Amino acid sequence: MLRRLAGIPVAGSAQRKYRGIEKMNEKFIAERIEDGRCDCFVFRGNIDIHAESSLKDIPDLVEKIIVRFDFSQVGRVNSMGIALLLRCFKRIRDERKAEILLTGLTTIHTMLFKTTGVFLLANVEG
Amino acid sequence: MKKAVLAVVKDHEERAYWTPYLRGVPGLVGMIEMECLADQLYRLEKSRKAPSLIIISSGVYPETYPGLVEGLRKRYPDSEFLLVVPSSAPMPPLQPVIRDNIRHLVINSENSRIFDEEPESSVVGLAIKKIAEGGILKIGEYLKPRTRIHKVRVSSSEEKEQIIAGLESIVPGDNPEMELLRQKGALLADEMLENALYGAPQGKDGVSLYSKGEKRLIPLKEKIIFRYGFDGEILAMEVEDGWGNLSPKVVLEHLAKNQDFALISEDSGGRGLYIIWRFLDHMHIHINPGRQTVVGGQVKLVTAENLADSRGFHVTTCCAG
Repeated sequence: MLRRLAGIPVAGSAQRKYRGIEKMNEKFIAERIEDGRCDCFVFRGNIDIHAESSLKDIPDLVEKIIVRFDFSQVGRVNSMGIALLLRCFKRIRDERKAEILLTGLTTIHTMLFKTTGVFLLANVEG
Repeated sequence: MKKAVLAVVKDHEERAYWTPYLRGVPGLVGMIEMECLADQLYRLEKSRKAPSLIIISSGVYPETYPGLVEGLRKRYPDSEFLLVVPSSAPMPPLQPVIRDNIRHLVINSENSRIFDEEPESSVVGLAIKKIAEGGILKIGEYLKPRTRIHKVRVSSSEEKEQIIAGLESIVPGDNPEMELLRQKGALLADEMLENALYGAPQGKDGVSLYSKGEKRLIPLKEKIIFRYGFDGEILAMEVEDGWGNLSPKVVLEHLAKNQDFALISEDSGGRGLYIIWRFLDHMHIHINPGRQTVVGGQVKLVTAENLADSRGFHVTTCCAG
């Protein structure tokens, strides 16, 4: 079951394919996927200030001890996006006591998360 | 007193390493090995020369002789200091660099050579030339001659994605290296524009005038200009704003704080500037207090995938350096 949390995709100016999907010049969407083993969230679009309302809600939705975030459809993550991810992951870890796994990271996501300390709170799946 | 450039190195091995990069520097009065420093400074003063620029090798500072810059600054209060670091050496800790007000640091990796020509054309050579001249680094100097520099005057926050798409469009090709450079460029442009749109505008109390994500029109006097160019190997870009609210000390404090994960929180200030620094091969910042800030730099295609390398910076103000 897919559940959209917030955000409206912005139509328009995609220029090129990116990893098989249209390049994401679009507002952020988070979708929750029901999974027996863990809480799974699929992110789409750029993670910046416009992701605030979606990311703020996520920790309250966590029920299981493992949470997986799929970044395979994420475009840019800027410094504001990093701040929001750190806040979200910290709450999941501290309040829900859950382990956080990340999948679908691009090279640039990995570089960025290494640089900014995101990997202190979350691990890459596999 | 005549102006001079002085270089302080650890020993004859370091002298041999830096010689190709420093030969031809106008006003270079010598490369002094540490054990000869006192004698050489005495001779310099006898010849009535005062160094306008002192180049310090990371072989002697900050870890080996932590008080070196403080001592030299007492002797030559008007000198600029440039810390040069070979790519094989670890990134020096930034706290002593901040304490001693060093505003120029160059990592001399082999890949930092700008046009793969002579060592003098490396980032080290460019930095020395600029500091010695008292000039401002411009992105055209990173790029091959006759490379087109694109210039966009930003009139609304809503133009950000369009500007980033413009930058992406000048980096052609679908191979993974180009794609990575394009994504790096897009991230850098995003951070630079966000900083100009929402970080730079501050009231007298230092409080931001606009909230992140707020739609805003840019008045002409605010003058946000984004420039970028790509010569097939190097992507260079910079953003200029009309505020001049940064200071060299604040820049370096942001870099040092964000480098230490133990000190950062999710709301840590200066993260955008830190990301810009880490994702550029070399960052330059020019501040004309109260009037203008320029933040920019260059990233090379061959280094796009490399995050482990240390990064340099070059911070100048309108009044010095």
